[in-house]
Amino acid sequence: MSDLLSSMNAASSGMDAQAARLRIVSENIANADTPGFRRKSLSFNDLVNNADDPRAVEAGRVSFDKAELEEVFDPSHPLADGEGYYDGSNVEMVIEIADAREAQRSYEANLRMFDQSRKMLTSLFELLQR
Amino acid sequence: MQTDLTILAMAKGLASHAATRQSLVSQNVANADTVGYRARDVKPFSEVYMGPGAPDRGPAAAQAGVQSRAEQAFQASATRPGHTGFSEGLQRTEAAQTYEVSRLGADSPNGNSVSIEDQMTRGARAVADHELALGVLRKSMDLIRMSIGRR
Repeated sequence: MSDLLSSMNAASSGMDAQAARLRIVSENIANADTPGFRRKSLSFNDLVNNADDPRAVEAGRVSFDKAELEEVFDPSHPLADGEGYYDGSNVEMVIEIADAREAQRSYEANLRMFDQSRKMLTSLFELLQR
Repeated sequence: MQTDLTILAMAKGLASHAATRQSLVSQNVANADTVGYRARDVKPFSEVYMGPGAPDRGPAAAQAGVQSRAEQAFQASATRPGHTGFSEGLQRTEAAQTYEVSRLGADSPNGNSVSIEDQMTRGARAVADHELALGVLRKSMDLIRMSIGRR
C-alpha cells in the first residue's frame, strides 16, 4: 500500500513540476514583445533517491536564455538608437509552443499515473471491505 | 477439505510486486523531462518469485516443495526482512533489484531515457497484475468463507 501512496506522491510532484514549467512558458509568451526580455527556462531536479522527500521530481532554478536579443528596426520607437534599432526579446514562439505541448503531454501522463494508482488503491480497499 | 493457502502468499506477493512496479513507473513518468534521468523497473514477477516449487529452484527442489506444501501452508513464513527463524516462504519483492530499462530510440539528447509510451505499457501491465492478484485473493477468501459455512 505504501508503494501505491508513494506512486501517487511521485505523480503529483510530476504534475507540480510540469505546471511550474507551463507557467514559465506563459510568462515567456506574454513577454514576447517586451524590449530587452530574456527567455526563461526551467530545469527539473530528480529526487527519487532522496529518502527525506516523498516527491520524485521538483522544479529547479530558473535560468535565462543566453541567446542574442533580436535587433528590431523601428526608428520611431522610444528605445531606438542612432541607427533606428532597439533590442527586442529573444523569445521564439515556435520553441515556446513546443515546450508548452511537451509540458501538457507530460502533465497528462502524470495525471494518468495518479489515477491508475488511485484505482489500484480503491480496489485494494474494496477487498478489505468485504 | 484441503485448502492450499500458499496461493494467498503468492497473490500477496504479486499484488505487492505490481504496486512496487507502479511506483517505479510513476517516478519515471514524473522524471520524463529531467536531465540525465535513467528509467528504472523491476524484474517481472515470474523471475522474482521464489516460493515453494518455483521453477528456478530445479525439479528436485520443486518436488520437495510439492511434498511439504501441505505442512508449509500452516507454518509461519518470513515475509519481512526482520523475520528470522522461519522457513523461507516468499522472497519479498521489495528487495528485488531495480534495473535500468533501455529502449531503442528513447534516449533524449539530454541523457534522459524515459519513453512515456513504454512507461504507459508497463503501468498497464502493473494494473493488470494487481487486478489479477486481488481477484485471486477475493476468490480464495470466498472459498474459505464457503468452506466454513458463511457467505
